[in-house]
Amino acid sequence: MTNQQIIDWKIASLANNDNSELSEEMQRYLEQNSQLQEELLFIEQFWTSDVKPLVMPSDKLDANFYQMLSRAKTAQQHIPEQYDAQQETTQPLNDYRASSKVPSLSLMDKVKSWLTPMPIAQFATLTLVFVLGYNINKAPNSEINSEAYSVLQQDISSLTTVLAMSMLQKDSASERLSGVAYSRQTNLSNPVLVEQLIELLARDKSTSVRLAIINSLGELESFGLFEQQLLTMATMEENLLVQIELCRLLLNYGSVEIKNLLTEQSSQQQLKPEVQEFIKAQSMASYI
Amino acid sequence: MKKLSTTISLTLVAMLAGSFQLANAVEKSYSLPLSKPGEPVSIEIEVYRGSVTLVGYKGDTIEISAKSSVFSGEDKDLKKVKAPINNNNPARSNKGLKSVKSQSMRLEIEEKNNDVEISSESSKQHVDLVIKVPQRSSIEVQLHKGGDVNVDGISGSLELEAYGGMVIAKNISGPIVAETGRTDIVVSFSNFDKTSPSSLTSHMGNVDITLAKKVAANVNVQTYQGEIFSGLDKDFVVIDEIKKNKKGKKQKIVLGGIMQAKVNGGGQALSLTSYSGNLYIRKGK
Repeated sequence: MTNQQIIDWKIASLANNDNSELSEEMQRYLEQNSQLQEELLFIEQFWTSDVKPLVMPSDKLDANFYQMLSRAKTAQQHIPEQYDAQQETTQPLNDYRASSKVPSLSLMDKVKSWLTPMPIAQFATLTLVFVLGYNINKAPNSEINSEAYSVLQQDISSLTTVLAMSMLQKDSASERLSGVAYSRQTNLSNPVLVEQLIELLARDKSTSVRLAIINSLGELESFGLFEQQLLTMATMEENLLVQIELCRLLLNYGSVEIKNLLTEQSSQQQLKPEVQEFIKAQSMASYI
Repeated sequence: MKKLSTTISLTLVAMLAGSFQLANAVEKSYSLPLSKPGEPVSIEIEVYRGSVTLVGYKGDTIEISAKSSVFSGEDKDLKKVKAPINNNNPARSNKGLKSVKSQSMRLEIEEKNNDVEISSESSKQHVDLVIKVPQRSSIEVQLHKGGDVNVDGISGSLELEAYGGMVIAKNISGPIVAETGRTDIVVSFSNFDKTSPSSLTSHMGNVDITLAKKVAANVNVQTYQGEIFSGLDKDFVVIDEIKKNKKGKKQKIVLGGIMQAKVNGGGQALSLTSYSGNLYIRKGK
């Protein structure tokens, strides 16, 4: 049992509006981990609050963000020498952590006020402060630091996943496009998020959103159980642009069996002439 | 009482006698004050047949001008599924009588807490709407048949769909998501929003954009049978190649697909897609 498994369960239950209870094993694990309890509470509050659309980071901002994380890691590795000197400067972070235990509304107010004016920088700061708040004043050694860094990365991924899933449910197509972009940042490591994307791909009215989803699915290591579903969508799809992109996705990243099935369907003229032409061109290109 | 006033829903079903009548046409204007002046405004418009023009201005009232006429043509894509009812009544004579054309207009306008819905869903009516809206408004338009969707000077988010006519947006900053079938999308950006991606998709039409000099964006382009014409200083490069190098230990390089140009160092995504139309990317002032 890991923290990530419980976080994934929480995200899935929030996304599906499912009030099912934790398994006994998960419950026991959670009872022994107060930090995780607070983290779940935070995720729940983050989900239920009205999240405003956030700025998508430019490559430069993205790079700065990861530099910041890297600096955080380096700083933690030097904590033994600097620990005393840092006690004073980390006090505000400790205070912030303490304040998260008092009425949760004040924390959410802070989060909301941070999310509005300069969103992505503050999202990064929020994530950093949130995790450092838990980790910075623990007795440091290299093993714990490495673990803390890994937790830091997991937490960032979890928050981005929560944000992505929340945005994918918005009414505005532009916000759903943001949700797809956030999904890509998580490398689609959460299967619930992938399921939500594929469900949206099947029913979204906006071609732009559907094309963005198909493009993001190229990030998956493998399509696994979704592959057959994607093939069915590719053959039944009526929107030409979406059908072609689904075929491109499967031809480029699908298993050999799926590629053969798709090529077979194309040769039997079960697909639109334009799609048949596209598949033929792709097949010819792959021989070059 | 104050609370109540903010939640009052204003529903107007306008069955309007023509105040200014052209041949078989009815024109009517209506001014709709917002219940929460100064706050964000969301406007949703659905018109079955006609045209929609939206102009942003510095005000807090929605000014609607509607011109409607009876549509007497036939939709080629619709088939009659039921024969007219034969009630066995004898045919009535109209000798000496004049035909009176319908002069009414059916337009529904609803406002609640700055959320405005305007709809004309009758297939027998052609409605041309000209609406002045606060510049900050977020707008969603669906126009099924007829003319164009025109937008000018709106800084809020835009979601525009036109299945019969063009989408033309001037002096906007997005985010915008627009889609047409066989017709063009023409958009000129005076600025470019950083909060959310924008995407313009025309299945068979052209997509033509103009970017103001200060706009920073990642412009993604993809057309299957059309051509791409760019007036940008930056070249377009294939982005799939970069993306697939990230896949763990396995490297797979896929060429083709989407191309990208980072304008002014790059920024939020602006995607242009068409199956058979051309893509035009112009540099503005």
